[in-house]
Amino acid sequence: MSVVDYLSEFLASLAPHQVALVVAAATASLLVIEERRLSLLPLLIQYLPVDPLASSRFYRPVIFARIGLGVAVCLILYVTARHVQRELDRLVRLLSDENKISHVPVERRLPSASLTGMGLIFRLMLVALGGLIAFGMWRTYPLATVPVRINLTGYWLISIGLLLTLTSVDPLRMGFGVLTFVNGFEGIYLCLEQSLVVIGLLGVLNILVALGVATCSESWLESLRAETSG
Amino acid sequence: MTILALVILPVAMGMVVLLLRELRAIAALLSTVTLVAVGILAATLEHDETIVILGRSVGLSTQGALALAFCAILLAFMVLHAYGVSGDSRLFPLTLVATGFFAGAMMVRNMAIAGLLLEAGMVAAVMLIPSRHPGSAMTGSRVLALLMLSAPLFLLASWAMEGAADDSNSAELVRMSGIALAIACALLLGIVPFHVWLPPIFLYGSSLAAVALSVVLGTSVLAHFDNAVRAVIWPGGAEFFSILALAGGAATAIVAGLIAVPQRAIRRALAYAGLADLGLILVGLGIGTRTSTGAAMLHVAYRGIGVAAVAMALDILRADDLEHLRGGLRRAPLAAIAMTIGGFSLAGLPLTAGFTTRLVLYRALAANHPGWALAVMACSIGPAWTFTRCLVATLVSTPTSGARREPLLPGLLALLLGLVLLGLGVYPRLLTLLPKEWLATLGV
Repeated sequence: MSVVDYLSEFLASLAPHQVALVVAAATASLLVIEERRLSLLPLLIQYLPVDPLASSRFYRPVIFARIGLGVAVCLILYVTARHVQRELDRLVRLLSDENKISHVPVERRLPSASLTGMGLIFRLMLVALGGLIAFGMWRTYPLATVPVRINLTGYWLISIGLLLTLTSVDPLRMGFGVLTFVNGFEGIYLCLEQSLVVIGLLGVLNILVALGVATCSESWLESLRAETSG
Repeated sequence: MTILALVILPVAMGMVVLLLRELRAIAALLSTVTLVAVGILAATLEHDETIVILGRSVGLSTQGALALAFCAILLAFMVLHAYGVSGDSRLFPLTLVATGFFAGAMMVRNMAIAGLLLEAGMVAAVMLIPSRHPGSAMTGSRVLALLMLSAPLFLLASWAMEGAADDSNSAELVRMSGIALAIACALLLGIVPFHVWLPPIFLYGSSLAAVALSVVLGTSVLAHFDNAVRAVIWPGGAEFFSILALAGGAATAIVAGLIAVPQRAIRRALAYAGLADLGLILVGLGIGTRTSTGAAMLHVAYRGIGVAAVAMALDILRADDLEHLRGGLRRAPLAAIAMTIGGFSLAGLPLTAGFTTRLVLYRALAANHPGWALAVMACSIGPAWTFTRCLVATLVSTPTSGARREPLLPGLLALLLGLVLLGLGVYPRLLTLLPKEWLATLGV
């Protein structure tokens, strides 16, 4: 049995609501996990097929292309996440040493060292707020032509993505938010429009956004380095 | 099949230039030649040429061809300028890729595909923002996050308009999709109240990024909007879009004109002057007569040249505020002259190209809404005041070390753009040298 067949069988064995639950839970963890490299795992899970393409034999190759796209996006971002995390850890250590002399808290001098510049309770409240927004949107604007689980998961991704973007203080996390938002919308949109050209272009857009996030993050790291050394 | 070259050529050359980016001179030259080739191809294209790819019609209207040719040539100038002022060579391939996507967005008739190509071009253009300037990276990611909000709006609008337009029961849905399309375009154009993202790009990004996102993106969005509205429109839709363009344009011209007055940061003032000019373009399109539409289209070009000339000049003068402009005329005479002419054209002062089209647009607006015309004219004093202060600052004599000389190539490029604006302002009949087909499109 080839890997593709094995993967096909595995995906087929998953119930749609199970996939939706895994995607929703993973996305919520994006708001809680501090380690940037680890945050890529929930992002990768978002590329799992929740949409009806999964049940169509015709679109089976597209599902693998989409998972491949997720891997490509996460690989692009992994390189940047590794740079950012390593550099921030180094700067935190450097500032902690200086802190012994200047007594200025590290969090104040380098707010991006922590997740949102806020504590765990704030982040958990954000997750709750995201849930409320998603549920509220689903109750107010239920899309008749979209299955409930996809509709709700899509709204959940959109709200968590927007909250992550709004509360982040560094380009990489903002990028995670933007990609989550885009994935949420794609999940819903692919129920309405299943043109292969559109699916392909959405993939190109995902890659470009990942490259844009990587470019901004590397440039931000450069300026942070210059700022702390100056 | 020539039409496909307009998309494939810049993207393919972008990949080549990416590999050669360490050889700055070759990368800049290849990029410039490619952009000029795209401009010439677009300008000389048979406008009836429409092909069908994967069941989708691909073609370029006369307006689209003019817009694409103008954007490509302007970007060629900007690439040469970036090379001359030692700009990052990473910018060259990104500019080419963005041009390819924008060209695709102007050519594809299918709204969803065109919208996605427009978004892809926008993301590539956003990647031009990060520079050595602290704050540019955060500006880039904020702009990316904000502008990506337009993607769902475009896709939903296209789905509703193309899928449900024939169904009489879904008239409300189509109307809602029209609103979504209008909001998405307004967001990408940066008109009031979505104007907040544009000034930081001028402040922190390179001049290439500023021109790509304020001029080229704006022109592409207008072309895409024109295609979309022509393709599918519901009863009363034309009036709806006219009112939106008129109201949004007048609000943008008034608010941006007023905000430009107190600015001491010249790049920020330039951003607001460009926005105010964009407002006037929308006013012209909203009025919708042949004369006003033609003048608005011509104003798109004059605005683009004006923004590019001033942005290039500010790069050469290395001036962020009025203090740094002091002695500019002595230090960098070519750039100072280009900045003055470009700025005055943006403000619509007489003897510049901007004045000729502004006059037509003011008249058209006054014929329908005299009160609005007065308000818009009064607020155009904002950019005029700002650029007059800039001119005065450059005239002030200050001691110079003499070590920093004006770079010749960027200075000449900026001056050339300035002289084009001056020439067309003093002798507008120069336009009659253009092909008759173009003149008919521009309503000249």
